[in-house]
Amino acid sequence: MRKKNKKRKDIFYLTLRYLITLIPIFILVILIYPLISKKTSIPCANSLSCKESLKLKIENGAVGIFNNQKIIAPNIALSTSKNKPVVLGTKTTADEKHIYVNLTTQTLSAYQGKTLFMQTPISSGLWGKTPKGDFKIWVKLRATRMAGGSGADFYDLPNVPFVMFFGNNDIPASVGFSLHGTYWHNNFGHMMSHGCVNMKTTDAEKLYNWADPPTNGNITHADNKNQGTKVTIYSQDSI
Amino acid sequence: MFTLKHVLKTVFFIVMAAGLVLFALMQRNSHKTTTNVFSQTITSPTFVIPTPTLLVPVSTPSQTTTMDSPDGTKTLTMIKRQINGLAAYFFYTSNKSDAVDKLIFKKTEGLTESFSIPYNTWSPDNVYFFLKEATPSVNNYYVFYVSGNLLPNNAQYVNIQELFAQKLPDFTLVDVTGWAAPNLVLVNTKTKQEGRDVSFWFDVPGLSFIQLSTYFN
Repeated sequence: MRKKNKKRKDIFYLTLRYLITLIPIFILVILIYPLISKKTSIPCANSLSCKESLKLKIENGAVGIFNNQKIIAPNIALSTSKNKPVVLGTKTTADEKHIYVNLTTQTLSAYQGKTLFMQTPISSGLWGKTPKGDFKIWVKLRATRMAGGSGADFYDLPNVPFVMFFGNNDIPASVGFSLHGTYWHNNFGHMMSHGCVNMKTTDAEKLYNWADPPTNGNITHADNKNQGTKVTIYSQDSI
Repeated sequence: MFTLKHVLKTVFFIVMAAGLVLFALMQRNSHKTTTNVFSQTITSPTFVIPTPTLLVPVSTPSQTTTMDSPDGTKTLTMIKRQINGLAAYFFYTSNKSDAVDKLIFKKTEGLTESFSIPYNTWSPDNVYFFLKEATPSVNNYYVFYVSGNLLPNNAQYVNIQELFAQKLPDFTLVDVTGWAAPNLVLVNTKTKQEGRDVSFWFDVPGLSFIQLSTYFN
């Protein structure tokens, strides 16, 4: 009988010990979680396709939706060559490449050193904010699908061409902000996106082939040897 | 009873558990880019507002302006010729593949009026384009079929300014900025009474204006 009581007591104390142990763990998690999750709480640029958009996706013949209108997506011919030959004259200096996006003037300027490579109107975030800051391109995709929004501003766009995803320590790569070509509107120089930087497809192609990492097939990841081009997004009042 | 050994065991357990939780949470952020934030002083680059390619032969009185479609497959060309103090404008469309120019529209203007090709002239699907005509009183915006076919009003073009003034007399058209979708032209206006900014879509096939809750600045 005594033995049985002792065993019961032991079990009770053991359970109590575990419960007491769990309380500080819960408190710890509650305190630390907001700090850690701060970065992941940034909403995705494409709320519905989020991580799916970070992968190469070609859907020739697919129909998209933008502004409640059906949009026929252009067909994408995938590159078959792994190493795209460098076009003579495109790599004139070894100076650092840098892309500037001015949200106030809605223009993009790409420089290699002090040499202006291109300057063109863009469309930044209207329904979602385009993040400001200093970023690096971490992957280039020949095309992907982007979907998001809701109600009247729902969009679902297959074959978004020449996508250059960028990120930094504050805006994780996983949230999917990018520079890319645009076939569904032509209203550059005015805000028109859900957070990404929209460009005329011909301009996006030119930038895609110029920007680092050097294009290698249809998916090109940046790494330590081939780092992505720097992208600075700012508005006139933030300088 | 709790002994020192028990206390140590409990503390160890807490630390281990917290470590595991932290590790699990860190894993959730593993998609993060590996690049570092760099803080470089940004010198504001000099901006040149892009304009259509302008080839002006100095010795001749004609000017050619071109604008490629967003996908680069088509070109709209404007040729301006000075004739006896007037300016004759000719507009051609062509495919990059065959480079055959098709005359779509021509008009002779006085000294106070002028035509221009807006940067966003092409509809996203290359079916339509629009032109801007600046006059001393208003700016007219003409929408054409790239093919040169007649529009739903059985005319070669639709004058957005004229139609807007007829249909929505309480608003003043300020600007036509571009295309929101293949059939929708973005029209920025102001209310005549309050001066409030309001955007509309001009639906080309329906020849109708749709008021928007968002202002497309």
